[in-house]
Amino acid sequence: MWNWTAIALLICLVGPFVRCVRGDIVSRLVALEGASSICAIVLLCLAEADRRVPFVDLSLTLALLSFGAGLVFARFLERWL
Amino acid sequence: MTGRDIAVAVLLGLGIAGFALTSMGLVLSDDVYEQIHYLAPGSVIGAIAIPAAVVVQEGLSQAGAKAILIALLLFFSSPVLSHATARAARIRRKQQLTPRADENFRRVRGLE
Repeated sequence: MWNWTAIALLICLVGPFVRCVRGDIVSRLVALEGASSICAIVLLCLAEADRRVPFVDLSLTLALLSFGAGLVFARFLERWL
Repeated sequence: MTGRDIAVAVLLGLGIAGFALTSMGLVLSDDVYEQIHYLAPGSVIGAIAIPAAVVVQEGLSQAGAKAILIALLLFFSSPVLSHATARAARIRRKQQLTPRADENFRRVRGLE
């Protein structure tokens, strides 16, 4: 069940991917933020599917770092690009 | 199939639906502000339902506690990111954050 959820969520990555390819620069940042949250949950599902509790840390780290990355990118777009 | 399995399946389906809505919204909307709005279903429904499924499956073990932490992180970081992104989009589009003299916000809000 967890593996199928991860596969379904990976299919959901198509939307952000299309927006990254076709959108303007701010739309690409929005797509990146959406893709980051999807990827964090995919990692959680894969860790749960394999019953590997330490791998949940990967998901936690991605969720934490994507928050900082999104803020830095937004600030960068606002000031310098 | 026990009741716990059914609850986990329902929560996983709910989470997938939230992220699918985000994905479709990103593809179908062309305005950046609408795209920012479409981030919400994934970050609220999806990011809470799937960690909740982990908690139902595992209980309040180490994995469950970390899943709660992930849900809280995604839930609270999403509005902050949305605000920062919308602010950047407006500054890029209008060259300033504050309303310009030629912008009529009362008309935009439907008050006139």
